[in-house]
Amino acid sequence: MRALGALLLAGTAMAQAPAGNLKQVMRSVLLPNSNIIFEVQSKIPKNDLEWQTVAKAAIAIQGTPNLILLPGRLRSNGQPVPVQAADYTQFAQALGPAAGKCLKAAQAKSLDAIGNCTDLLSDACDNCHKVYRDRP
Amino acid sequence: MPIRHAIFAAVAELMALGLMVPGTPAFAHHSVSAEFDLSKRITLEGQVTKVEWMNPHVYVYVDVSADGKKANWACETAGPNTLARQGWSRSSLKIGDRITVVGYQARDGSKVASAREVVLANGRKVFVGSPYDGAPQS
Repeated sequence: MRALGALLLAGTAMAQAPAGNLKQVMRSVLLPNSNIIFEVQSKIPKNDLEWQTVAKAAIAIQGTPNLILLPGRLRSNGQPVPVQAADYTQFAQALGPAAGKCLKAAQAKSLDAIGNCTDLLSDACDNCHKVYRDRP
Repeated sequence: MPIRHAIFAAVAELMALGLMVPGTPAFAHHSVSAEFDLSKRITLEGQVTKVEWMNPHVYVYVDVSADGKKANWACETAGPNTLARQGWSRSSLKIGDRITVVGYQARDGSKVASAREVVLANGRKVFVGSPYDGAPQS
């Protein structure tokens, strides 16, 4: 009975382990979705559907602070993501408001607002990379 | 028309008219080491033909002559805010300015470079890379 309980607990822990390391999450979620937003600067959406794609990308990024602050995720170097570090948490959470501005900009189909939100988005990425991105 | 809107519209028109050269880099967020060969340091000397002041990277286009041939290089720098913190603005470089760009060439061999340093005609040297983007800092 005790062994069964241990197995169940182990199974639960495995089920809750975050999928992918931090770099994989960056390349799967943040990079492609931020690029959809950045691309508006050079390729203006032509119709509602294309603006919706931009809005969806902003929503995806809005959700990433939770994703990259999940305990248990590893970095690509095998070290744990520093979710306990106050500055990391602050950097990660800065993505939310930046993406929120992008969402509003996409909903308003405002190129100026997109321009402004890309400043925030770019800064949010840079601020974290300055501290936490590995140097060669 | 707001300035940003005007710039975006102008870029879109150029693209629609086919006036942006093939191989124009996407204004994309990417890993520097994935796109550029950080073991291939290059120095480009030439005249500025265009500056695109956009996130996440500003692009400076430079006509470079070598071996009797002229090529237009797209030099990727840090984003507008990072450059602004280095004292740059969208008017710091003008069309026709002679500059020297030190950086790394694209892995695919295209005329795209990750610029780390720009030396202006007056000899002033400016770091233009994203700090801590994974590339060597000098």
